[in-house]
Amino acid sequence: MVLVIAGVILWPSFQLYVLFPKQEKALKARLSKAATFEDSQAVRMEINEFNQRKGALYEKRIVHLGLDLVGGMHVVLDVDRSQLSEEDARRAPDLALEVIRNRIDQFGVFEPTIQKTDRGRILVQLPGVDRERALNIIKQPAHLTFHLVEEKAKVYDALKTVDERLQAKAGVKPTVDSTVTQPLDSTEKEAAPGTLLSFLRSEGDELDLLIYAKDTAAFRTLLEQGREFWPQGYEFAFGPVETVDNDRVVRIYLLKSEPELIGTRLRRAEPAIYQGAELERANTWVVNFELDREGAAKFATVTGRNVGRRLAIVLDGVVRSAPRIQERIPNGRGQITMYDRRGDKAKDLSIVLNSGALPAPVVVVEERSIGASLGADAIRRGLIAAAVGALVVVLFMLLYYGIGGLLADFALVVNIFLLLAVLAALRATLTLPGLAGIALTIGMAVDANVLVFERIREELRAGKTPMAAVDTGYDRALVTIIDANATTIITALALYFIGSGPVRGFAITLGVGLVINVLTAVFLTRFIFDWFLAQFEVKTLRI
Amino acid sequence: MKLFGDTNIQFVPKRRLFFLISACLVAISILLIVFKGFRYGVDFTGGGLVQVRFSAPVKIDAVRAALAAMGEAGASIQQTETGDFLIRVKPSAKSGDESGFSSRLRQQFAVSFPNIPFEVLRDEAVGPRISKELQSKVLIAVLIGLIGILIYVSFRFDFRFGTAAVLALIHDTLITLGFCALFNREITTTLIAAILTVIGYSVNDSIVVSDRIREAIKKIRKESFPEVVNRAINDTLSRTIVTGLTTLFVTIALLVLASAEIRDFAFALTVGIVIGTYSSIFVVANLVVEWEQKFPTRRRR
Repeated sequence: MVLVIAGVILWPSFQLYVLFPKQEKALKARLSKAATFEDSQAVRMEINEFNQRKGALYEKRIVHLGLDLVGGMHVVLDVDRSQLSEEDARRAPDLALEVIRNRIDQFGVFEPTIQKTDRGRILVQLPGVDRERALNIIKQPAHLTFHLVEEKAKVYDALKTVDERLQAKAGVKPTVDSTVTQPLDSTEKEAAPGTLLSFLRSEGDELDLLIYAKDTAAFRTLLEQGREFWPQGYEFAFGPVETVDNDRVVRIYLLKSEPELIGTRLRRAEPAIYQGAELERANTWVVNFELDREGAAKFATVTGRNVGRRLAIVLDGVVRSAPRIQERIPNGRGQITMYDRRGDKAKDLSIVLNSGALPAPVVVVEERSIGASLGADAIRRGLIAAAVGALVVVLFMLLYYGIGGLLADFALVVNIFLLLAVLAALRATLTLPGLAGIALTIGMAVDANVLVFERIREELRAGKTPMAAVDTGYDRALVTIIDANATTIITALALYFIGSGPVRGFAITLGVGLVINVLTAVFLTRFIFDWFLAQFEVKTLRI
Repeated sequence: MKLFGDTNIQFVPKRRLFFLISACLVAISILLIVFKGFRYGVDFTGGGLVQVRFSAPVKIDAVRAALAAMGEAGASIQQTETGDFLIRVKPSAKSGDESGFSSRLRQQFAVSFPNIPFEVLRDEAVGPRISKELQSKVLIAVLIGLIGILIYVSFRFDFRFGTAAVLALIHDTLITLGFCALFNREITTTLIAAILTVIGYSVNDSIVVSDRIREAIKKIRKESFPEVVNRAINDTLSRTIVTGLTTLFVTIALLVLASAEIRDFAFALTVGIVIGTYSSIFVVANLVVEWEQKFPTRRRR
């Protein structure tokens, strides 16, 4: 009866981990063999349906595999509340949790765990995801602002001024004669080393000054040193790393410090393929956005007043794009261009924009990521180790106790079966240490039966009949079995208390394993023993 | 089949010898722990650990050069038997964002080894505050475990057995830790889990013996207390060894066959079970005998 229930409980897990991988393989094989387009479409439909069934199974009570087995990431985030008012700081973790949950939901992960832990920290567990992408999505603050952009010549002049002032301050004569206007885009390498101008990639491009991506850090440091000499009311800003003529470069912008439009919550952002005229952007992905009504009205005013100028779309201080305003934009629609050929970045940026801004930056205070192949490797070797261990135990018991050993072995198999069923019913997660816990339970599981059999042997030696010996053996051993297992369960509870993911998994398998163990050893084997002795009217018992 | 028939080994009369052996083992372990010290994992020290697998063999010096190029010359690099690199760094005091090191490392490796694809198998990063919290949590868990056992054993048997069992547990734990220090095993939360399991196992063992002693005291009144204890140990010897063996089969299988992440854990279990079995045969009951001889009790239950 119990076994049937256990079987029913375990059926979804069996489907998921044993049947499905096989079907998946078969489907993939058929897809690669499909001769015509129609054939392959048909198989694709089947695969879709299959994936849906698989997704539905995840919702059921199955034995969940931990991150250390399937691969994935476990991060604990802390919200940096140092810049917030007391009131905001109190609400920040909940807000951040909400934003992160939204983003992850859109990212599309099976079974994410997103929850608040002690001290306002946020725990995120994502099975089988790409670490870098996931971190970007989680950590991106998403402050979107729009700033007017100065033209290239002005940027050059501003940089030159900063250079000159910096050198004057350091007591070095300006190397560039400031009375002579330097022609832009000349192949000047006359700029003295160690100046901002010396970093510029000589050609630049039509719109912006460029520097090599590798120089960014040095350039920024130097620029920061001269912050007091920046033009009043303006800020320098940078674009993302992009490839121009096979060089990795970064654009330099001079923006009006005061944004034209801020904090306007977007109504919608979605990735799309670039449709415009610029050849180098053909086939790249962009993000189209739409502002809400209030935002659209402001956007219309700003664009109407500044036709012909460039407007930078700045996300978290990085200039995403700076298109020239061709005409007044009344509908609040705009486009962020990307340098993304695969579409991942555009998709991720849309997710971040759609889910709103984090109330404050989040930092990773703890992280554990396991690569998928390490997980697969761990499972395979863990299972082999457990199987070999179990096999040796089973053989040893058979050899040592004969028919009794057979009984104990049967109890052992039932045991593991029930243990897995209980884990599925509890929706517990099986981790690598958990797998070790099961293996260890196998080793210790026979203990109860060993205790019983040793007692029966004693009673037989004392000259009792098999029936009586079995009876007394079980009765005598029962107290010991309970005492012995109770203490181990106490330690399992203590382990559960330490409770960082994998160890908790171990505690659960160990604890549940022991309880089931006592039950099967005491009741199941006794029941079979009694039935066996009565059935065959055994006169002499050898165990 | 039988490994042990009716044995009558004189465990109790020779107890001073076993005490001496145990005292030596404990002393050596404490010396090892104090002077050699442990190799603590990221959980306890804070900092980052990245395990990288390259698709083609890479020299450790090249990896070191790449790390130096990103300003992490102080990182410790270790190569596993499968050729993976384990790279460890101290916690980032400045930014407080622990995911930074691994991200920068990926970028640097892509630059330093442009033609050799690599895979990051494992990332662990623990901030300094978290590692402190974890340390205290572990301490509390071990204490709760020990106190829980002391209370249970004292309640089910009596205080003498409880104290003897807990003393034996401390003995087992210290010696297991001593072995971990000796063989340079890394102390992680998983290893602590192993130690707690050993505690559970060892007390389990001790209880079976104690249980027998209690039963024997009730039955045989003409034998002296040490004789009763000696008989109880002999009576349970077969069970103690058989269970120890079956458990060892599994932990040794884990130690030899399972992946590296489990190996330290399996090592501690294997050592702990051997020591735990030893102590439940040679130490626990003998402590009770010693106690009984120093402070005889009238009320033998």
